[in-house]
Amino acid sequence: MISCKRVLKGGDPLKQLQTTTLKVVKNELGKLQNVNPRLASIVQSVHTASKETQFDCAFNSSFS
Amino acid sequence: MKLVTRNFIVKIAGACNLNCSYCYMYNMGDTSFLTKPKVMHQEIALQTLKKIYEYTERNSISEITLVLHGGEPLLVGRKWMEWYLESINQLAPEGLKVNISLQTNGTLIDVEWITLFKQYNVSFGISIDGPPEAHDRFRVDHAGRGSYAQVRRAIELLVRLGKEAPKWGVLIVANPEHSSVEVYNHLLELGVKRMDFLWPDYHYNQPPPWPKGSLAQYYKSLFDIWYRNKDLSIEIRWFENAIRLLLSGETKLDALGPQALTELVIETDGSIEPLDALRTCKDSMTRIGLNVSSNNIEDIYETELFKMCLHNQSLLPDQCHTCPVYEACGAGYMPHRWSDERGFQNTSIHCLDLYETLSHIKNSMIHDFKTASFEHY
Repeated sequence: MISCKRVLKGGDPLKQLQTTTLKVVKNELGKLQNVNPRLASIVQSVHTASKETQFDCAFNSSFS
Repeated sequence: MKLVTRNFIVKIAGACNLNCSYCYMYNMGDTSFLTKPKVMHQEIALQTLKKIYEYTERNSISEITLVLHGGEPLLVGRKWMEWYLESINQLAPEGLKVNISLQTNGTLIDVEWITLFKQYNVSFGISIDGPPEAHDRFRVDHAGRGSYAQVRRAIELLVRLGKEAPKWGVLIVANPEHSSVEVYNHLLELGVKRMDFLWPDYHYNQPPPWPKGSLAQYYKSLFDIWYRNKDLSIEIRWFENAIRLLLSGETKLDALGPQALTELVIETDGSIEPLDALRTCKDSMTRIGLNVSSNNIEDIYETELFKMCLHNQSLLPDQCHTCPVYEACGAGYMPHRWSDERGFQNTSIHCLDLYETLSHIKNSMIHDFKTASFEHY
């Protein structure tokens, strides 16, 4: 896996909607490449810059 | 961690051959340009390098960026520019990497300028606001004539030169009275690959003339068409930095994200000043009485205004720190937070639009991560 430096957590205090988190695994970046090559490219560059071995990037979807 | 400056904006020219109505240098209330030289004297220009290089040595800085700025920096003339570029390289301490960039209105660009910039590896940005009806509304000369035709000629020349030209891109000031998608498509038709769409300079004393949400709509439409464009060579810097901030908390922009504002400006008279766009807040706000002739770069770290730049995030109201997009936003660009009553202790004047735009970007990313079936936990 590759790693983001920071995990985004926390709900929208205004909306209090359900939080969903996602884990992005490096060897699955190919799947993201098929969905959105631009996002996959930026994810990859963030990983390269971070020089870390684990990608554990969590998002909340509280804006949905 | 010690905060140091790595980006130095050097105002080599104090005059401009254009008179853009929204220009923060000349037309947003600041009058300090009236007292400054039209071109930086060579003695001041060398003293600027000396002080910057001494600063990097004292602070063990291995890489800096010098942004040659104005006014219109090409007004210094080719001979002056070549002398200065050579001086930048000759005087740099061993081991220091110096990136040189330049911001121009593009009207004076020709093959000889491009050759010079290529020779010294100077990357540059050209200001263009889109097709003629958008560009020529604001970007006019001192007789009120639009500059689109000249700028287009420069861009076409750069596109023709291809890899023989140095790295270049364009800057657009966002204006929701014009379609962002039309501006974007126009730039693609011209052959532009790198773009940035700047949030317009307003604050609480001078709010934008459009209804709240207009800028968000402008940026969201633009994001959608860029984000789905499979040509990855097309860059929009603000969006790329927003995505990087959402992923990792890192940005290369001073106008986005919750970081210290460490940029420094050396004016044409040698004044050492904080970020030049702060002058939109109050006449002569950035005049803090320091000069490369008598001060070291570090002296600015003791001034109240620069301390505010460094610690600008601690001035934000609580609602920013609890906002779901705070870590990608940081209340945007510091000058956009100004009010006479509360100084910089405000959200951005573009707060709602930033919130909507960054939420939209985040949701688009989440959608794609989900579509790619990444693991939920």
